[in-house]
Amino acid sequence: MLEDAPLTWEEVARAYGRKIYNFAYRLTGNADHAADLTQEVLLRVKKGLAGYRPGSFEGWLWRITRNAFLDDTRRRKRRPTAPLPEEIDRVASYSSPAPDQVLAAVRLGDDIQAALLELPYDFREAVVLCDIVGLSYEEISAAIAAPIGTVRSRIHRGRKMLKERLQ
Amino acid sequence: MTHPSEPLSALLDGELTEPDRTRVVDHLSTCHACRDELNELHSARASVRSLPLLDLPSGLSPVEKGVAEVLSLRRRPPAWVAAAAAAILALFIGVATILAPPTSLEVRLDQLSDQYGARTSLEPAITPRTPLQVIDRVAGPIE
Amino acid sequence: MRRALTVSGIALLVTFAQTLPALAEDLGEYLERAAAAEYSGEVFIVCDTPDGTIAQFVEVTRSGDELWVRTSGSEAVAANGELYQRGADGTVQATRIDSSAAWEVSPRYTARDAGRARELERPVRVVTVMEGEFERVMLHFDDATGALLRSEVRNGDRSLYCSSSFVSFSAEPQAIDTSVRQGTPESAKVVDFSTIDEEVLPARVGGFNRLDVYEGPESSTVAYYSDGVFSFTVIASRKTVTIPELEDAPVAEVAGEKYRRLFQPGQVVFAWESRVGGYALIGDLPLDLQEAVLRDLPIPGRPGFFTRLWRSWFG
Repeated sequence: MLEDAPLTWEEVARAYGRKIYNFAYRLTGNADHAADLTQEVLLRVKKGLAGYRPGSFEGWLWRITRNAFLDDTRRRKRRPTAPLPEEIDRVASYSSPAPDQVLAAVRLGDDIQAALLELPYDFREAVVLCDIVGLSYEEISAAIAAPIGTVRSRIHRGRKMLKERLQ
Repeated sequence: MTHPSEPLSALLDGELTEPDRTRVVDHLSTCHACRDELNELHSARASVRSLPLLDLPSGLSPVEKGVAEVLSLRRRPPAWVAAAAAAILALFIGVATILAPPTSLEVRLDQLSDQYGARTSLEPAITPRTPLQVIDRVAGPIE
Repeated sequence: MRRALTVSGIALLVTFAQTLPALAEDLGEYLERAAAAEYSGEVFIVCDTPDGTIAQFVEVTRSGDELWVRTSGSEAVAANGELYQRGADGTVQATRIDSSAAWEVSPRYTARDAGRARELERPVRVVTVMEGEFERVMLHFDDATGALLRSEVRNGDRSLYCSSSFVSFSAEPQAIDTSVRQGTPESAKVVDFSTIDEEVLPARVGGFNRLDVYEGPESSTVAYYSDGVFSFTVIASRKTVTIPELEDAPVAEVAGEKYRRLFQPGQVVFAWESRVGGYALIGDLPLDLQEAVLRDLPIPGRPGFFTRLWRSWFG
């Protein structure tokens, strides 16, 4: 939770690129879209960084990410031959194997990804920003421009739906 | 208090402030149904958090790896190092330490926890000892 | 003077007496009585950590000399320095520590009687553990059994670190399944204090006293530190110490140095490499005491010449 923004685009790319990619990937299940989106966001950040005023850097960054994502999704839906973002791709490289779990309700990554994709977009986005990207409720609220109560509600309802699908 | 539902998610995310937090935790102490719901939410949350953080595919901006991996060269130092004179010994041991495998002592978390738990069982404690394997490491750290 | 004791005068006197915080009996007595109490119940532990909030339900039974705990398919029985743990896969691990330095509460703590309350409809006595004027721990002791029904631990900045409380409780303990007591654990061998390298495992760390030192696996040394309220175990080895479960954990910065760190409900684990070798630490310390302890142990760094030499010859 930085208040001072990293100064250069390279630093932003290094620090956040992976998270942006994972945000897009978990929302769409599609590696290509996620890659395109990451490039797009980094480009917008590059353009916007010069004019950035100190404030909540993470809030600003995730607003850009989210807007780019929504623009991209709208664009893809207009193209009749474009694959829908709901297709699941297998990605060859993983950062690290999933840790061993003792919890009862653990499933394979694919099952969880599939369940995520069944959530309505609003719920899915809130859960991904909370549990994948790791933003606080306040940061999510800034990123999606919605009150904290809405954030809380969407996360909660998203998890309840996930629980049903994972049973 | 009526059964809190949404606040349970907020409790898990550390987003509940006082006095709500105490109210909810107190309620949990008397309500089995809500404890069950908390467990279920906990599982759903943990499932999403268990998804691995994927690397950027090649072609995108380079991402710095976290901690450098330890090199592991499986070669023993030459046998004649031990017989060398002091000055030469220092020189060759310098070489040998580069070549020797950096062996490590592997301690599983449950072994460490058992050591600690066995010792603390000898005296009173203020928190219940949970000398157990990793229960839910993904509830916390994301990255 | 008689005249002074009017009704209101008496009322004032009584009120005044009630608001004086009485110095409690020895905190040690409360905790010892709690450790001997018999019961079955379920405990909810929740901790706010820099890596997020973590929570856990644990079933507990205390009966005779034994303490039994179970959570998420794993269970353990501990008594008098022996601990048997059965994992979800059914394998049993046994550990044993022979008797050791006497337990006592450090004089930096005083116990204060903070009145009465109720926990699960049971009357409890509230005792606070004070570090000077700072309320470090709040405890609720069950009147009937002496059991510790709730504890809340604060960090040095007064924020709440962990709270654990019984969500169900019965003074009639269930029978403990002793099938988990399999095999005879070997006792860890005690190490003579005079042979310990003070730089590697100092006698006093972060305000904690080193109570016992044992031989650990593969020529490592294990030391136990306690101040009577909090405690921790340190493993020191000339080799690098790796804890597989910490490999994916985020690198944490404490007092300007980087460590591998993993929080679990009620316990924290650190692992790091230093000039004198590898370390792992596990304990129930709140955040500020974690920092105080790490400051007094060798800081993270590359192994020094003698450590590398040892590794190349004996590693």
